[in-house]
Amino acid sequence: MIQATDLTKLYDDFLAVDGISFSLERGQVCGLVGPNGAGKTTTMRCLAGLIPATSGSLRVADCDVAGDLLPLKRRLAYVPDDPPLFDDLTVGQHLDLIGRLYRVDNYADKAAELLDFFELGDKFDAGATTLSRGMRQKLAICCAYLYDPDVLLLDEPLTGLDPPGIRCLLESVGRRAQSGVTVIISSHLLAMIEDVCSHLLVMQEGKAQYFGAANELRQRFPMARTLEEAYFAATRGPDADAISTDKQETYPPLITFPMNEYRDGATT
Amino acid sequence: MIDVAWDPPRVHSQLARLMVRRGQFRMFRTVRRIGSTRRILATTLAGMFFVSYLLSGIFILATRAPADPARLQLWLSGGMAIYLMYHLVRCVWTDKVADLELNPAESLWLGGAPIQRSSVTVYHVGNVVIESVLKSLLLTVVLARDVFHVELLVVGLVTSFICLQIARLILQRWVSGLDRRQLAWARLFATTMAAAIILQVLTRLAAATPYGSPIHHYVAGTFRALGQTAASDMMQWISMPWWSASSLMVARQYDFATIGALGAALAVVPLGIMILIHTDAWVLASRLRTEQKRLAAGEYKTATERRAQRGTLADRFTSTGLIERWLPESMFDARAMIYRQLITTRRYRSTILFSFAVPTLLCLSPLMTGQIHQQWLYVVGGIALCTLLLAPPAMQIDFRRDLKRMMLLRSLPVRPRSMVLGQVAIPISVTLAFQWITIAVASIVTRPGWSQTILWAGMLSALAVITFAAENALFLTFPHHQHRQGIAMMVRAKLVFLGKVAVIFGGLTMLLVWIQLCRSYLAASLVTPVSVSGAIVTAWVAAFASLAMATWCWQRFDLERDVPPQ
Repeated sequence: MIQATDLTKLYDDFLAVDGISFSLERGQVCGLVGPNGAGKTTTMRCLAGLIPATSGSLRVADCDVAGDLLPLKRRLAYVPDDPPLFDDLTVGQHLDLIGRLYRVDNYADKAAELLDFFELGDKFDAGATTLSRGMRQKLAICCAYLYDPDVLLLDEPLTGLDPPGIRCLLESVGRRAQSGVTVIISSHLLAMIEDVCSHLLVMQEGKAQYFGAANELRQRFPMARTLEEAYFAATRGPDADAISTDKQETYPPLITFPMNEYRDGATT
Repeated sequence: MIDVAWDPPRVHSQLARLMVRRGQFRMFRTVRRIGSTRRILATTLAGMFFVSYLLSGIFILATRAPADPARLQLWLSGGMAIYLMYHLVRCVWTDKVADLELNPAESLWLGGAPIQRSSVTVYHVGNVVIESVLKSLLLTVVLARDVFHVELLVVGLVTSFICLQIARLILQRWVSGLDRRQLAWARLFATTMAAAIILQVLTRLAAATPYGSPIHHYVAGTFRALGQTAASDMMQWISMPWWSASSLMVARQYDFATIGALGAALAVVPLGIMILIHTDAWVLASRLRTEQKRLAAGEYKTATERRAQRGTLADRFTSTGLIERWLPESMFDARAMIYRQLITTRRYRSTILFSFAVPTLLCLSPLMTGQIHQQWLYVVGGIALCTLLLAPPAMQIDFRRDLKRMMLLRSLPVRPRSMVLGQVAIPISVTLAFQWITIAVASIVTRPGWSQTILWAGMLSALAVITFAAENALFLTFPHHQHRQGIAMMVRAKLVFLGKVAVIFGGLTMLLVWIQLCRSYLAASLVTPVSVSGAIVTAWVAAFASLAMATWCWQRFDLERDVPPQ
């Protein structure tokens, strides 16, 4: 459902994503984790077709991301961190807009159901500017769910949500994955997403440090008691002496993972 | 040829629906605000402006002799071309990469939706239609006397304004797709063109105004020279997209030629949209190509390399020693704000230098007219006008750029007085540098005497403080997002302009009355020192009062109610 091969993205003279490769099948949920500035959001935006990859090939929801983007956009939803909303539309009007643009049949009933599920029913006529950060996040997720995408890209979706909101969201992600939706969920709250993720992609300084089954990461660090500890071990910074200025000789990843497997399209 | 895909009409109707919904929200919000007691002053002033504008149109402009239609036609099209050249210069010298001027919500929800980029472009152009109609109606009041058919004038103006907006977007988008080398050439080209236009105006002015003429002849001559330049062959070729609209505006009767001009004027709009869509597609492809070339050539740094090169972090913090020396300890909380403004000023130093170099030259231009007494007055008059009218837009690094960060500013442990001082100190300082350099040069050339130099340096410095304090007070009372366009912004700009002109005339009148009083009641030896010091003290009292007003406005700023939608 998602296949990235040597994905590279350059911003001016900065290499934000450095040749990452991974592959996800239908119904898999991948936690995209890494320190701030690791390239997670850039990777998601490339996958969503919002920015073009400088090199590499991307295939998402059976669509080539370098080709016609319309079929991809119909089948994919991307919810960014702190999603921007139209200041001059209400909650209901946002869902109305999405329902019409994506030509969702009977969207009114689905929208009402989603608003109730995320406890936004009372805010139907509220302007976007009056919503709290968590409510804006919930509204963006409702908009994303409204057209039942095959691929969901959620960038830091838990930030700003209250505990019931987090539970609702993770529950809904799990349910959608069971119905065959492929999900990438970026978060720093590893303990929160641990249960819902089947896979993990650990990024650091634009590179993929690990991609594979979530439980395998822990197995590689037997000393780690939690997934969070395994993640810290995987992204532990190098000693200053080890830093090389040669592009070809950056310090080796702490976890050596056979990335070629994924370049060839194999899956776990 | 770049391939551009189109959506079915259904998509455009959904986008039009979105436009209407957003328009409705803004309209209801405006109506609510008109009725609000917090906005009563703005409402009253705007109402007075519209009434006086209309009355002057009916009773003053309508009684003047009509302009020659042939010349009017050339001025209208040439004027649009001059305005376009101004935009070109701005585009090539600005560092911002504009993505069709979409706001973040539009970029996400429309950019991510299954609709073609061409539809998003058409939607964006659709947003400027209402604004163009309103601008056209205002200009119709001024030009109605000069044309034979007002309805044709309105149609011509509307299409001209829409065409101008599209042309501006095309230029903006095109520039964002240039690589560094191409951009350097574009800058050279645009600047040379602008310089050529300015040179033409100056040459025509010099040829038509004998050396030593009174200054008002030069002022009137400048407008004539501008009109002649707009009507020149070069500008007319650049203004080709506006030919049909301008001929439509001055059409004498409904005949085949008029219908043809109407068709051509209307056809320019979809043609412009097509060019914009193709330019946008070219830009997207061009930027990707540039990225790929840089990647292939290894012209980049990885995060690891950046970290290795950055050195010790502690060394990278720059000292604020200068600010600390100049500001008293009691203003400790303003230091950080001033430091931030200094960083911005350093970053945009070339733009700021350019923005003030042109007014300096303009202010000093009367020195070339050979009339000693008037020269000095026109120089200080020019400085006053530039301080009031040009300095605020050139130095928008105060509260006006911080609307999205008001919450952050409010949360800082900075006293309101220090916050205002911190925001306006650097813009005022830069303006003072411009004033003092200009006054120094003019004093050396015209030798007006110490009293005149001190009087005007002191009063104009106070004017700089008043200008920025009042500009910020006004912004905090009636805030708006940066680069906002539309009829409300236009009315606001007109009102602010009228207010500034009133301040200049009011100040001058008070100064003359004060000097007259000193002459009537004081001994001759005391007149100069008392009148000069009195005028300066009064100006500075007004300056401090303006700062106090800005501080009060900042305290009164309501995060919930005053921040407008984006």
